[in-house]
Amino acid sequence: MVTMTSTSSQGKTERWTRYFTFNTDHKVVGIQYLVTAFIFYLIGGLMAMIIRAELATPETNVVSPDTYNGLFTMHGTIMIFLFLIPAFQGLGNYMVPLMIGARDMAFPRLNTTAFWIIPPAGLLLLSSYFLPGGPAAAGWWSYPPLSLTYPNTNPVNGQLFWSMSIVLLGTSSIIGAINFITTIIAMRTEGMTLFRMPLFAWNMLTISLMTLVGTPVLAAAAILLASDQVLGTGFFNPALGGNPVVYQHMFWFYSHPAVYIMFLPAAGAISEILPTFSRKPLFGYKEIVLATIGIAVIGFSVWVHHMFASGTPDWMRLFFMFTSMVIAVPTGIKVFNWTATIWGGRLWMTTPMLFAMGFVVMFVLGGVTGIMLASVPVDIHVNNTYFIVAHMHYVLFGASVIGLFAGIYYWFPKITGRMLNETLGKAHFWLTMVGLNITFLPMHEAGLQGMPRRVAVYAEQFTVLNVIESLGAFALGLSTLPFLLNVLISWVVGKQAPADPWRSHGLEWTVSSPPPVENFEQLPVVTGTPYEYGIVGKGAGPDDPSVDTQSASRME
Amino acid sequence: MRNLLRFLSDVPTVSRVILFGTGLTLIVAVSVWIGQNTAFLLPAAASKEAVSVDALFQFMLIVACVIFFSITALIVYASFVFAREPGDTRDGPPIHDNNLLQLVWTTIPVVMVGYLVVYSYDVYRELAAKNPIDIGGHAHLIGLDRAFAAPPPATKTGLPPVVIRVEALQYAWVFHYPGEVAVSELHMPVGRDVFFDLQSNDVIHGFWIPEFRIKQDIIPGRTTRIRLTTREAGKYMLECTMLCGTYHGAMRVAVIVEPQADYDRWLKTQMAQSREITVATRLPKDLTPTRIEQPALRSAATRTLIQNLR
Repeated sequence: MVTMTSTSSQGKTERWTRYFTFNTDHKVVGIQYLVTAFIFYLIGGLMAMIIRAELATPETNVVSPDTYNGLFTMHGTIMIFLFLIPAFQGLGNYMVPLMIGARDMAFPRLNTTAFWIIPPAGLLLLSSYFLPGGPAAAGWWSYPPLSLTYPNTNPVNGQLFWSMSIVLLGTSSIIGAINFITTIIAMRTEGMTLFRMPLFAWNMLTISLMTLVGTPVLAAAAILLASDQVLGTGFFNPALGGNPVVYQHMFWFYSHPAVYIMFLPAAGAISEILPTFSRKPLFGYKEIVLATIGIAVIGFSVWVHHMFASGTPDWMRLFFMFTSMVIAVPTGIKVFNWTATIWGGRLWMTTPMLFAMGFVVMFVLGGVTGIMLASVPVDIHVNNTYFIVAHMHYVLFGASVIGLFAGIYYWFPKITGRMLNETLGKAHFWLTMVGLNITFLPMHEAGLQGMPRRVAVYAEQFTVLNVIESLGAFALGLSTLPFLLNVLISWVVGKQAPADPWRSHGLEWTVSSPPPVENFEQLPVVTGTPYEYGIVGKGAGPDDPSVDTQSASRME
Repeated sequence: MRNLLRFLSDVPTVSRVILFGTGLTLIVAVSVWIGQNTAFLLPAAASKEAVSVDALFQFMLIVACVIFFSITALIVYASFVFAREPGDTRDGPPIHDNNLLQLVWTTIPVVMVGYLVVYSYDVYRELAAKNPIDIGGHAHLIGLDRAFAAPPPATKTGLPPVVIRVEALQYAWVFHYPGEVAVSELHMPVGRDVFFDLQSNDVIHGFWIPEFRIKQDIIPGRTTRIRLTTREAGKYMLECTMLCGTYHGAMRVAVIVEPQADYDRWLKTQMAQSREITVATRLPKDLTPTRIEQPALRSAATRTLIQNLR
């Protein structure tokens, strides 16, 4: 698909200190995002470990009830706003210009600005642990009126820091979104039509548009909430004639689409990985693109399914039940097309492939419970219980995080110029899959049986389920270790990665690993999608003159 | 069509057809079995409404299991059967798309979603006939019955519905029965219609009795009415489902559904006690659980009860 020459890496001579500067190279910014996000992942994960330790027994015994409320509030906020969203921003930052044949993002300085908002915003959020009363503790939704008086009634408290941090992180997201949209619309290389674009780029474009529509509403909600709390206005305060349900609408108008903002890039990465390791073209490229756009559009008209128990009128319940169920159609189309991509291929069972296949299975499990939640009568029973916690973690961990790991294992050789260790990678995969299912599967039962979410104490009858969940969670915590070890060791002493270790066809694989500054010496010209596997002249087997069989058999 | 045949070319032999047929039969059988044995998943169905909700849930569970097991089976099968031999660098067949397949697997979710929407709507009609939430009207547009707008009808037993006013506050429930009775335990007679008028004194609380499959957020400043019909006597739990502050998890009380005679006896005892308490206690001034401006506790009886609880 490509006519071009590649150059050897110039990155080697660059100093590591550039990662602590306002460097405008999209690849530096990408790594800054990814590493920062991963540090927050470890912090948020540690909080989850404490939460599960507390829940190992029905009584309060590890932390105080207020500390506990602070922990799950910060866990949710960190994992969403400081881990998943920035992590995919980082992966997108690194890969999108390479994938569409651009030398950098459209606005390099805006790019570094968007990143450098994140560390201060994260530190601001964490610093609320040193305030009297501690961090925000009203859940990551921060529903008023509780959030107006909790953790305390000081005007400057953890809740205010939460609101300020959300506004900052939202600003960063919006800046990033503008940059991605401009880059993808305006900076594609010759021949890279929209319908030849890699799926990952499609998904980054889609979520950037969603960010642009949704995030301002969240930021507005956070500002109005802070105003109610600090200035004593009454937008959401029923004691002053405000309406707390309006906050819920504003919050979920962003926060449901946010699930897709965290899920779609993972789905995009999967659409790159499955064809590569199945050695087959992506099945139904156009249908997957249309399904992605469909999810984004319908995704903005489903938010009230989070509010079925909030005193929502009947007509609204029924309307949003319908729209929420309709999401299952484009989602189903994607799953079927991914399965068809694998079918009949010659699968390389590498670590990224394992994660990609695990993604499909876990996502289906999170998806089928999603359909149940769309149905008002069922949702009324399980709303705000551990059933929701299970569903949401299957989608956000089982799909988004697993998909993120798949992407990292897949692109790590490109980003660092080093191969990851396959044995450690596979250990990471299996430990994660086992840990995740032991943790989250029993939560469905706990929720159905009557265990509400966000509780530090629970009825004795749920003890067994919770002990199992906690053990699973600790296994899941341990599963991070092989990954950490693998990344740290491989980055320094890992096997040198060739330009295209997986014999993949995307543009990013035509340049050296890691790619030189400005990526392409000469901008490539594109003549097809990057999924043309099995076609002679494009790397179809050992008889194909374009194949480097040596490098291919070295892998795995 | 030729494309489709090529796509399925890995399944030409009789043995594979049998394998897939058996697999699918097994998956459906297991899914149906799971859907019919949900005793470990669902608590007792103690209200009439719970029975229809459970049937809907069980059906959805069967559908969910069939989908999940099928996709998982396909992926696991593929990872064994299609895994390449070591050193094999050949590509797979260059198949890009197939219109017939796309049509089939678009139709499947469309039909499934269509059926689930209609089924859910039917169950919801039944629930909403008793518990309409009609802010802003539009009821005529969505075809729901409005039985509730009429005066409370008498049930088969000829007894009128029991009306219980529920006050939620950080971190307790107060139940007001007719005749100035305020108690902290919820009692209901079996086989009767029960009306709850839900109010909150401070923040949003959630009213949930798992065995009744009914949940309602209680928004401060509003009265939300819900209604149910008790079906089975027993001891259940009322839980707060909306994070409401420090001791949210402890905001649980017993719910007792008992025969009419027991219920009457209990109510009579409470009436007697309640009168004594009301006379004996003066109302304390600072009872607000948080320091925020908020509506004062709604009734003398509530304040008395809280005082006694503390």
